Amino acid sequence: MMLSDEKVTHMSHVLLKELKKKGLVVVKEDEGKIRRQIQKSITDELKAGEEIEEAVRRKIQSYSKKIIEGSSEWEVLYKKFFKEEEAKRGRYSG
Amino acid sequence: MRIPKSWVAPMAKRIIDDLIGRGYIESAVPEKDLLAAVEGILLYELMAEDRLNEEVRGILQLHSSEIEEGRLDYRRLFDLTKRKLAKERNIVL
Repeated sequence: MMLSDEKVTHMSHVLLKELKKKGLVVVKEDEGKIRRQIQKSITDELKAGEEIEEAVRRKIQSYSKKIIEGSSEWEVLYKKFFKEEEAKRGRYSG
Repeated sequence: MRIPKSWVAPMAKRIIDDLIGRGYIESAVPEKDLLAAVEGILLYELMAEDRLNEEVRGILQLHSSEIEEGRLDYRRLFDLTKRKLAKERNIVL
């Protein structure tokens, strides 16, 4: 995965701490349980992103014309297909 | 950053939806403000390594003449300095 378990755990601690400190949320459940859910949500989202990325790479590779990764043509196609794939899967994109 | 910046918004949305959906938290502010705050916090954490890399580059710039003369190995110094600073400041990479 693109982030280590340690980093994901750390992010869950920082996130909950900051949200509480800023008074943005009312905590209704055990904090350990909330942090574990945050870790799961992050991990799930990373997996979803990786799956989309993989699908996009396969799509570009399927072109009969060889498109070199990193070229401007590749970048344009990558962004276009990534957005399409996100929309297809109903992923929020901000 | 180890993940594309464009992944932060969907990550923030999923966290909020999952926590609120399970009744683990309630938002004390309009949800769009909560979403923006979560995005900001995640982004800041995810960019910790970039900020550290930038700082290490600045530190090594001070030794650029020795490095250019080949007396010091840039990559090795970079990694050592980065690890040292991360440990001192409890930065999780």
